[in-house]
Amino acid sequence: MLHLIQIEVFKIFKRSRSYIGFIAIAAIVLVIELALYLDGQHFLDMAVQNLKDTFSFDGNLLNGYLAVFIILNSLWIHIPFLIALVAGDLLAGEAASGTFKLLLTRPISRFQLVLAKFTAALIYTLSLILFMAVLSVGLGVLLFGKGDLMVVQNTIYIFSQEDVGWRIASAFAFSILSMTTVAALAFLFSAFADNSIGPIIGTMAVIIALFIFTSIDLSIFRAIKPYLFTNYLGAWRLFFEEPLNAIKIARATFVLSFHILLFFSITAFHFNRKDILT
Amino acid sequence: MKITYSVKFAILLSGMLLLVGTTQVIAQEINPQPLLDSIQQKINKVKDYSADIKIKLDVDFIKIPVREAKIYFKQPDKIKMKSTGFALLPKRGLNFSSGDLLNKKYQAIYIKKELLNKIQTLVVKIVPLEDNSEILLATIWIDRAKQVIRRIDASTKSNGSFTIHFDYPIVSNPFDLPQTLTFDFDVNKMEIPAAISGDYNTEKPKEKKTGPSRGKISLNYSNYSVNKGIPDSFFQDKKD
Repeated sequence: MLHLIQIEVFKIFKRSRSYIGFIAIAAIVLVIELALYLDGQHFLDMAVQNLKDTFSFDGNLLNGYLAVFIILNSLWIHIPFLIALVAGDLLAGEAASGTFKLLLTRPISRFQLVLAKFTAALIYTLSLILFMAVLSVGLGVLLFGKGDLMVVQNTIYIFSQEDVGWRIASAFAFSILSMTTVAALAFLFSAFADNSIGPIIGTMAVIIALFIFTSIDLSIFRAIKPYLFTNYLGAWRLFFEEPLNAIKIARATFVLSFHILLFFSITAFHFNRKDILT
Repeated sequence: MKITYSVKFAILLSGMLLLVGTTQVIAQEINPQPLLDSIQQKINKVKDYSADIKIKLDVDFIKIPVREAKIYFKQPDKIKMKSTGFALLPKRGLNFSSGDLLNKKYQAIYIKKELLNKIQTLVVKIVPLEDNSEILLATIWIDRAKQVIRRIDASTKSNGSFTIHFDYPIVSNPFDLPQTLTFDFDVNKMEIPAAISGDYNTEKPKEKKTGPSRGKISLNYSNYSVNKGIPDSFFQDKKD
């Protein structure tokens, strides 16, 4: 099984499209952090102008941790596309290139193959988020240094420098879970398609549609919102609240985990019964 | 015997006049001016000071841990703070100095005696008489025994109102500088752009709070260093 996973991971990283995500993230992180380096103080001054009318400040809020937080905010909506680009191709790509029959001549069950491919998708997702974490934190701290972090949600939170590291680590860890849900959805669509374009577009269409539904304040959407996985893609921000809302975090973790399990189960069930014609 | 309407009116008028007269006598039995002059002299002895402070901010929409900083003050209203981390202090009231109020022309009106936190105080209204005074009206609670101000309620021209509570150490320091200042001040809930807040998809509260609310900040002072001569230039690099 381990060997099978290694093969699938190798196949992912053999494809040039798998590096689009890394290149895109590197470019975006670099551009945002350089822009903040050149014009960040002005940006911050404008952003907290209202606060300055009431309070006198001392200390620097423009630091590496703020840069990471801004990057996280900017990217969590767009990363699903980069994940779908690879996960949506895992099964559909084999169907498109006609390699399924050959692949299944090996002494492995279909479930093992699906599990190996899904694990490979998980490893890819993990690599992408870790790459983003290391690059954004590393470059941010290098350019701006460390400092206290100001986070504005419904409340303005100011976290001490010593209190920020674990929150950022937890936020990235949670992002892995939420992006794995996206990977599982793309993987599910991939099992139903014979080319990778459909699953990629399908995944994004579902995410965008659910985002729109949850943003429209109608009672029918409010009722289903707690059960939609898209409602929790940005739940990493719960780690930037004080006190920590453990119930909300647990609920978000449960809903996302449930969706991952559901999507994977449907994929495995469908793939086991699927007529392999190519 | 029937009491006519005019007699009733005369009795009522006499009663009212008596009451007003009595009130004036009671109000005038304490002249707050010598006490205020004594406090003013004591305050004016402190030309400048620096101190370590612990800042505890209590504003419903801001959560910040207790911060430690060093604060510098110079008469009449220069103030500067240096902290290891990020700290914020309210602009309203922080640069207020009791000396600034008492060193200008004012009218003092004794109001009453009041027990404030088990301390007997005199309540005095201060009406600044100078046109350019930022303070419109202040009420001060004076600890007559220690000759210190225990509380100030002030209304300003442009910065709303604020209240300052003064707590002093049990063992008095030579200048009677406070150990703890607690500010209550007006604060408006503010909007921060989503670019920095990332507030794209968070659950919004059903009822959004608007308009002014009250904020509170406690400053705990220690390690005072008084009249060491802080130059004016030290305060000039303050950005805001």
